[in-house]
Amino acid sequence: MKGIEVRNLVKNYGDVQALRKVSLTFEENKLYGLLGRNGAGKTTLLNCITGRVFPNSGEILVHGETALENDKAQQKIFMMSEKNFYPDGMRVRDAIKWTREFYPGFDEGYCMGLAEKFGLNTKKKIKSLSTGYGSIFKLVLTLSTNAPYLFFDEPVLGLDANHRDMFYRALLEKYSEKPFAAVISTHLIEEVAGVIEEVIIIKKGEIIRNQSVDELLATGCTLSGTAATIDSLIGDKNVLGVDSLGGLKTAYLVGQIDPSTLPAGIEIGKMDLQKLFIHLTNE
Amino acid sequence: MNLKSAVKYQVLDGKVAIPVFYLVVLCVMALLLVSTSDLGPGGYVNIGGFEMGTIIFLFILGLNAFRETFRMMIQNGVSRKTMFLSFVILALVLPLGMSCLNEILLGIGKAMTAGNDNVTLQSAFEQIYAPRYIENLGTMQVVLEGLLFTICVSAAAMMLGYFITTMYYRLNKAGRIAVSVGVPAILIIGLPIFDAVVTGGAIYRALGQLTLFAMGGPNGYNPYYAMVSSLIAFALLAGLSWMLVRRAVVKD
Amino acid sequence: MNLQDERPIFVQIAEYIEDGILSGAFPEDTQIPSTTEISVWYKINPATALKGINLLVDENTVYKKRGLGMFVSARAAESIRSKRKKEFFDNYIDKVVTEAKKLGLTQEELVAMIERGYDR
Repeated sequence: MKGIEVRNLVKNYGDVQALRKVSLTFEENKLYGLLGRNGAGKTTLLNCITGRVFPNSGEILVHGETALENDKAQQKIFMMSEKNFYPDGMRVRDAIKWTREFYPGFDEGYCMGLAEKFGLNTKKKIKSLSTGYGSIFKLVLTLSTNAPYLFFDEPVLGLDANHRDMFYRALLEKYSEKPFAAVISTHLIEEVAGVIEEVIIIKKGEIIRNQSVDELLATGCTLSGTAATIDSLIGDKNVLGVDSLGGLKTAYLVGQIDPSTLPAGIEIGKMDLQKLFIHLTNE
Repeated sequence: MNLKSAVKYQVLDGKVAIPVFYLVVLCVMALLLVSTSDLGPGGYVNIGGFEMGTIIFLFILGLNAFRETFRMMIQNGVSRKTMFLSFVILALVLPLGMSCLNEILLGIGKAMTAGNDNVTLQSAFEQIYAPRYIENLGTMQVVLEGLLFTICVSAAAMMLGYFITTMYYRLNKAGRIAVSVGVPAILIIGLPIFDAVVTGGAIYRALGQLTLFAMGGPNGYNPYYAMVSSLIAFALLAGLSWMLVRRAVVKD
Repeated sequence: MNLQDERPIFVQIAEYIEDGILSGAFPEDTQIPSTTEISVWYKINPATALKGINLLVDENTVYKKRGLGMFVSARAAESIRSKRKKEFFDNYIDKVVTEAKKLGLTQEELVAMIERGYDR
């Protein structure tokens, strides 16, 4: 009965329904992308699972046990988020020491090595780190805990391209060495598209897609050509959206098209995750 | 077993404040001893009451024991239950440790002023419960009962601080203002005026009687009354605090 | 290799290794990069890297040595060449002719261009 199971989770903040009967499962040893627009409910979902806030109703199970107020369950999870939960005045190296105390599987050697690679000064006070190094500090800690479920909420906030690159590589290296489950919540969809295996799209508190990336992308295609021809072709199709540029149009369709049935001048292409996401989550 | 880790964390959280406290105590003691070492005949000084410092210190410690610790515990997968339990342990262990240390310091101080007839060093406990010990001043009974007294009262003080801080955490802005203004207003202005005008001082007389009773005054200055009262207060405040903590959420 | 390419990533992985075999970068009986190395290098999920390698396993271009990794099969280069020759028409010629027709090039003009290409 492994994995993290979320059943019918409801969370309201006053009038706002942040999560509306959300159900999903995070299986062991898979890399998930949790995608959604600002305010869609990604952070709320992760906060409910880690006990930072209380859901209004619904269940959260970790390896079959309820996650609520359960030390054993929570010790299997480590989350990094935008907010800093460490005391004012605490230095990076103290945070490392305490994380090791609370997470017995923590690998300090790996942590210090990774910190050095990123150029993180462990003597600094956490509060004095820049946005980028604040993220680096947290992601280095997270990767070092060896917890079976890692939650990365906006892990690359403030990171330059080189550091972002380093993060994805470090993540994949660690994952290849000894697999774990990770949920990466991010706005940088194309960067993460190759790294993740499963994708969950959340829109206004509801899960609208939950499947492997390959499957999801296979469900659709793009058709490009002159506006008139495209219009004539897509009348009976399930269209997610359309991009226009002068007399040219690209249509994003659900479903596959046999290329041999297409007239000349029409190009068929595969869907990319970001475009699919944008068209699925537009108003 | 992250209860152990949680306790360790809370204890080490005080690793600066506690030594500083004792440093101050030692300095004050030294200052007093030095300045009174050479009084001429006729000078009489009675110094005492420094476990009040401990009680106030632990009260303030309780006031600071929630907010930052709560966030740290949540980050590290510790349940509110475990966090609260670790504080309760702290609220028993710290008073115990510090009270013992106080008795030792008191003992040293007394030994150092033994030769000086003009100076008497006493604990607040000895001063309050003096009538009880006329016969047997300076025996183990005084020390032991003083120790227990301080432990119980400072534990209650620590829990009071914790209760206040968790209450403030859970209250919204309006609530906080209401409490910050309302409680002092009632205690300092409202109640006294009401008592003087309407009840003719009866309320304050009753409160006075209650306090004396709780401290064991009417019953032969029995400190065990104070200890039991403190422990009841401790349990009550702990219960209230737990009710506040168990639904606390992480804020910005 | 890039994510914008039309073909699935795992196919591109397989082709990259095939290219290496053809060019001699991965000689027979030598080891090809592991799934971990490929995954980290291209920043892709290891499952995808594995899928790409399995394509080659299915075609017997590489084989698994227990405990060591994936190795290039004997005469892998030859089998890749013959496979690609068969696919050459669909993958290249068809597209070139379609584009040429789009541009209005005659067959003779196209043949002349091909000859020029060989002369380079």
